Amino acid sequence: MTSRRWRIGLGALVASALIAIGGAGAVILGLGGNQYPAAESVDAGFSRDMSVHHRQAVLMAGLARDRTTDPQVAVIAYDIETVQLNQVGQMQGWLSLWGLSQSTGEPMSWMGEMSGMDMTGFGGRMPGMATAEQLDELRAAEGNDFDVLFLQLMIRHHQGGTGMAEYAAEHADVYALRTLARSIAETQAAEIATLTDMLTARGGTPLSAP
Amino acid sequence: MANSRSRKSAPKRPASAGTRGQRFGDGATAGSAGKTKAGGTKAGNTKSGAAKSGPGRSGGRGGRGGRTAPPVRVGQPKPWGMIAATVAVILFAGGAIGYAVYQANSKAPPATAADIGEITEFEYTPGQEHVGTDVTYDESPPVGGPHDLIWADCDGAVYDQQIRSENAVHSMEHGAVWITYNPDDISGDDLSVLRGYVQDQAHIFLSPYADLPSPISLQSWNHQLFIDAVDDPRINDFIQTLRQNPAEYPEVGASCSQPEFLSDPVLEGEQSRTPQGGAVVTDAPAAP
Repeated sequence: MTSRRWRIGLGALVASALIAIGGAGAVILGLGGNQYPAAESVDAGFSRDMSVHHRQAVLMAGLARDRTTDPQVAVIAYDIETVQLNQVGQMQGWLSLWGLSQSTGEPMSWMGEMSGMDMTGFGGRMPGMATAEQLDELRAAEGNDFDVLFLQLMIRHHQGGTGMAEYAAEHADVYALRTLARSIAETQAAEIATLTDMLTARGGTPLSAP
Repeated sequence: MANSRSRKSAPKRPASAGTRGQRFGDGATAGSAGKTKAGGTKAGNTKSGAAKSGPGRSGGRGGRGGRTAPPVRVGQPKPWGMIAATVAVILFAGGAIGYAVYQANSKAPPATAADIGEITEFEYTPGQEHVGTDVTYDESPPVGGPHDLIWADCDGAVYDQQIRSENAVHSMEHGAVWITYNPDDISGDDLSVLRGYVQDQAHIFLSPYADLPSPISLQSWNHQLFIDAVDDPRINDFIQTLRQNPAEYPEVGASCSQPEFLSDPVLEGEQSRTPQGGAVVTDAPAAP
């Protein structure tokens, strides 16, 4: 009897040891670990702030697609609206996966030392964002005036967004996010040139850069 | 209880017999006895099996009359049950850990374009100009470069005529795969196979291309593959690897939908519908 109990005990000990070794091995391998970006990370901050930034571009581009009579403005507005809405979906999807809030909190805090510099003079808004007054002005404008103001605001909006995207492309941890940020930085930088040419062709001059 | 009783009988055994040898001999006896008495239970396989063999053994012993009773379980018996259980646990744990390690190491990046045989890669940078003029491309069909403001609809669009390349390049900038075929080589069933790759799919479009140097070619931004037959598995490899691959095309997330182009395509040889192109200014009002 003693021997049998001893053997059962030994078996239990061996089983426990194996389970412990397996568990320790899993921990060492990092299996099941939460490697998601933290709430204050560059990845999360960029996803939140660029979603807000993009949504204003989607709003202005949607307005332009509805209001403009110029087919060139209409098609580039459609391009901006669809691509940025898609990208908002990607960034909000990541935040959902990471279990993080979609709301902004402290805007631009993820950009480290650059944020203090960039935020001064913007009244807490992100770089390049149009003011409520400018949006009202855009809603009220018509014809070529509308196209010019839309292009002016969108150029400035892109200029602000490009800086944020460049920072994230350099400093974010998640590969997919760096890839998206790089794409945003490169395509918006190029689109600034296109929009500026369109603005010039319609008799407008760019606003001061953010 | 059978075990402890057997052990008590051990002193009756002949002193000359080695315990180990006797045990084996005894096991054989028990086995043969078990065939009739214990319903063929394999002795020693499980603890209950060993216990059941006890009565079988005594029955056999009784049948053999005067023979010395062969005692069982002399010394420490092999704990087969525990050994089997331990081995099972080790195998299970080893399998689980091995699988976990395999999973951890198999997070390799997806297949890259370079893995597709005979593919050619190019280096057009993102942010190419929008132009309203015709472009002389270095590649035929083109795979990147300046392009029209309006992209060709690439949401599974099947064009029966050759579309204007300047519009198709913009579609590839949006992440689409452009399948082209030489209409002299591909028709009928072959064309149906190509249509099958495209119809109802996103970010892919098909059009004929005159004087194509091979029957079929596939293009995406900065990638090209010439193919001879519609059953070439590289068609699928190309689509799987390069359609909307965010590392390979400039405008990540861009749309393929362009209903006006789909219903009334700009054909090769026709002029741009947006001659100013955005970048090229012709008769626009002068800046103040």
